[in-house]
Amino acid sequence: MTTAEDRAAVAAELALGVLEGDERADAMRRVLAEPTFAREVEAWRAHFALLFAAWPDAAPSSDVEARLVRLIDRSGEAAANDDAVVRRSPWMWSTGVATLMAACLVLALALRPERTVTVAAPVTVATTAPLVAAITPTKDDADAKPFAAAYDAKTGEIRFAGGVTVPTGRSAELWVIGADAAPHSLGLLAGPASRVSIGGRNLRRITAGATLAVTIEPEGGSPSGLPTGPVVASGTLAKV
Amino acid sequence: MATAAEDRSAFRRLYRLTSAKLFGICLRICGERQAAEDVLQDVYLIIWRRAGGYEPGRASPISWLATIARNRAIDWRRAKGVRPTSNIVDANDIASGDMSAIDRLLAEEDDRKLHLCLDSLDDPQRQAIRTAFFDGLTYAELAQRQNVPLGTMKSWVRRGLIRLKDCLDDDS
Repeated sequence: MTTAEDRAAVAAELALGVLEGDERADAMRRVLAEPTFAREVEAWRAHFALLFAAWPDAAPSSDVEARLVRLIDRSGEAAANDDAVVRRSPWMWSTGVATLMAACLVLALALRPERTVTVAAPVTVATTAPLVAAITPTKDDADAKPFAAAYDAKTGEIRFAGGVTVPTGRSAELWVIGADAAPHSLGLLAGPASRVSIGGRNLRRITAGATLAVTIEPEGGSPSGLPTGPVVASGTLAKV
Repeated sequence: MATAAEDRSAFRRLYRLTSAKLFGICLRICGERQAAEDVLQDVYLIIWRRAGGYEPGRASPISWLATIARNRAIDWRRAKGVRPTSNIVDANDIASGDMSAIDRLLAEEDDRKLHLCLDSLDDPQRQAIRTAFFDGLTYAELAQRQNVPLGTMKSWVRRGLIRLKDCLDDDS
């Protein structure tokens, strides 16, 4: 077995979860010490994660949801009791992440076309998975909240489940930064929950790994075709 | 800023979309409903508190949630010292049947490739890898379940994983 093969095998064993004791501790140390090893573990996790689709579903009893709602309500009250801390507390951010994740999933499910099957000759129609991004504020501002964006290749539209605060007399402009590392304008964001149609060359720039960024520009958008204002929020597109 | 009520309703939406998948994972690994429900509750509290450190753009939300559920269920079983139960449905027989909306999000072209590559492995290799994943077993537990020496089990799994990698890396 070569060194590379051995490394790949240990990375896979760790991702699969078969190691224990010293072997597991050694592998965990390698994740911290060796970036190549860490990337391989991550890649294996992504491979194995595909098997989750085959896992049979089961319905929990309805008590679980009721219990959870009571528990999160109680922790929310505890946070609200301390006014000085509440605006800076990680709690506010953490609730935003639950919202964001729900929004990402709901948008992606709404966009995902059903697989249609014809009666005479069953044909699985190829589907294009939507791309989603969590657009997060660049500044640590308690009023700015992350929001979800989802791209539907079928309609060529990006839908947003939120937006940014725009000062009066200014506009929020959306950009894509892809493989060429240059920002390309996708148009203006017309308030919260807006949609932006993608056309022309930009269609090829909307891929997994591309960055979406929002800047504040003069009313009507950047006059130069390049961003002139600060980036207030950004996120990376990913397959769901 | 979103109000607490908005956050709570988004959280419930997330729960309703994903709880059947996550509970299926907890139930299979824990082997009993009560424990599986306790673990499921823990999993959603972790998600709510973001203790798991989700990084948008890095992993898909649903695989991140499923990974937390699987790890928590395995932690529970090991902490309790509960011996893994032999499930009625053998890990080797789990196949994608009727797909829910969440499953369709997970199933992609890559998914077909993974299944093709798994199918190309020898039976003992494939079965050991699938059982390790679906039942959350360590080498020692796998060896005991299959009644083979630990060294034999390790060699099956390792050789299987290396062949799996060659197959997944092969672009043709």
